[in-house]
Amino acid sequence: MATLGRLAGIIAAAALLAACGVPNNAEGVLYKGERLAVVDMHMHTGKWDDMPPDFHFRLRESVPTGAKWTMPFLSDVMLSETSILRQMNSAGVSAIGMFAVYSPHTTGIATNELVSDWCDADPQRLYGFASIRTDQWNTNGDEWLAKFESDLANLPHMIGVKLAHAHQQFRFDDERMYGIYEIAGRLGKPMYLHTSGSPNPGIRTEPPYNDPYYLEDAIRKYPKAIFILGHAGWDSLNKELTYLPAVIDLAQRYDNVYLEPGALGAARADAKVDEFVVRVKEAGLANKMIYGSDGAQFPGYIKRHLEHFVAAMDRADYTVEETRLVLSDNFSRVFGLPPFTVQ
Amino acid sequence: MRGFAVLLALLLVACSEPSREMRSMEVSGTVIAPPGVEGPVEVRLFVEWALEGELRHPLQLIEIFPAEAGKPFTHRFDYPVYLGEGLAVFAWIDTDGDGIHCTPTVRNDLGGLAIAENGDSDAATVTVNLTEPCRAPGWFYPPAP
Repeated sequence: MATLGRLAGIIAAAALLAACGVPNNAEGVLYKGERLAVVDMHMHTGKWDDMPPDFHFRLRESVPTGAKWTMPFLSDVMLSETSILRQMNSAGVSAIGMFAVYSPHTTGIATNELVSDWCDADPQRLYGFASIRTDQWNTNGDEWLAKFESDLANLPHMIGVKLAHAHQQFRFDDERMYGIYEIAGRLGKPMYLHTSGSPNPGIRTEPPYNDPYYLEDAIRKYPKAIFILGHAGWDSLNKELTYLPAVIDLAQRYDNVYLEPGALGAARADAKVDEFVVRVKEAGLANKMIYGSDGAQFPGYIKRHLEHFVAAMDRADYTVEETRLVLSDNFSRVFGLPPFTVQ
Repeated sequence: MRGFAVLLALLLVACSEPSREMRSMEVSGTVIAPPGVEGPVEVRLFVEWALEGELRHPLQLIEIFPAEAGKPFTHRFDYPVYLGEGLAVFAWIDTDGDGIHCTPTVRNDLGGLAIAENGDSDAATVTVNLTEPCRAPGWFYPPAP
C-alpha cells in the first residue's frame, strides 16, 4: 500500500508539473571557476502511442512489475516539452535540439509537425531538427523528399536535420538518400547523423549502418552540407569506442564534419568516457565537438549526463575555452545562432 | 473487502503486459549466386509488413542465419505474429570472407531479396537470387511501382 501511495504521488506530481509553465532558470555549469552556458543538441521526444510494441517492452523493463502499467503515462509526461524544460532547468541547460524521428522499426515516430509545435513552448530554448521517412523509398521517396524540404524550410523552429541510418534501416552508402544531404546543404541546415551501435530493439548493428567511413563519399560530394557524427562512434551496445577512430579521422580531414558525444555521459559509458575525451582533445578537435546527451531517457538523465561528461573533461584538463566551445559555442557557430550566456 | 478487491484488480493490471504471440514455423529454400561467385551466405528473415497505421512499415528483421549458395536450406524459427504478416527473405554472399557486406572500397558482395510463398503458414518456401552488390534489403523492397 505504501508503494502504491508513493507511486500515486509521483504520478500526481508529474501531472502537476506537466500542467505548469516553466520559467528559464538555466544556470550553466561552473568549470574551473567560470560559469559556462550549456546547449544539449541531442534530445528525444514523442508519444507512447507512436512507438512500436518491442520498444514499449524495453521501456517497461525499466520499472518494476507492479508499476509497468504506469509506463505509458510516465513516458508521455517525461517526453513532453514541459518536462524536458524542467529537466533542462534542473541541469542548468540553456537550450536543446529536439529531434523528430521516423523510425517505425525501432523507437517509433515523432513527426516534424509535433517537434515544431512543441518548440513553440519556448522557442529561445527548444530548437527543432527535422527528419524524413525512408522505409518505403522506392514507392514514396520523391514525396517524402519534397515534404522534407518544405518542412525544413517552412516549419517554425527548424534549425537542423536528424537522421539515424541504423534505426531507419538504410546504409550510409545508399546514394538514393543523397538528395537529403543536398537539401540540407542548400538550405544551410546542419545534419545530425546517428553513428555506431545501440541496444534498442530492431536497430542495425552492421558496419554499413554504423561506420562513418561509409559516409565519406557523401561528405566529399556535399561540402556545403554539415555532417555531425552523433554518438561520435560510441558503440553503446558493446560498450566500446568502436568507430571513434573513423570519427576523429573524418573530423580532422573535412571542414564539414563535426562530432557529438551523446550517451557518453551515461552510466553505460563510465568506463570509456575518460578515454574518449582524452582522444578527442589529443586530436585537436575541441572546436569540432558539439555537446549532446541523447536524453531525456529518465528523470535526472540530462543532469547526470552533463555532470559526468564535464567531470571527464575536467580530468582530461580541458581548458575553460575548450569546454566553452564544446558546451555551447560550437553549437552557436555551426547553427548560426548568437552565443549563449548565463548570469 | 472492497479495498482488497481494488488492490487485487490493480495488481492484476500491474502484472499483465500485452502478449507478444509467436508461431513456430519453417522456411525452406535456396540462395542462388551467379556462376563463379563463391563464399559464405548470410540469410535474413523479415516480417514482410509490420504494424498498422502510421507505424506500418516493411521488412522488420526477425532472425539471421548462415547458408550455402546453391544448396537447399531449411530453418525453423519463431515468427512474431504480434508484429505483422508475410515473410521476406534477404541474402548476401561474402565473397572476400571479411564478414562485412561490402566496405567503402571493396564492393563485390552480391545480395538479393524474395518474398516467400506461404509466408503466413507453418512452412514457407523461397528462392533468393543474388543480383546486386552492396544493397540493403530496403533497396529491393517494396519495389518501385
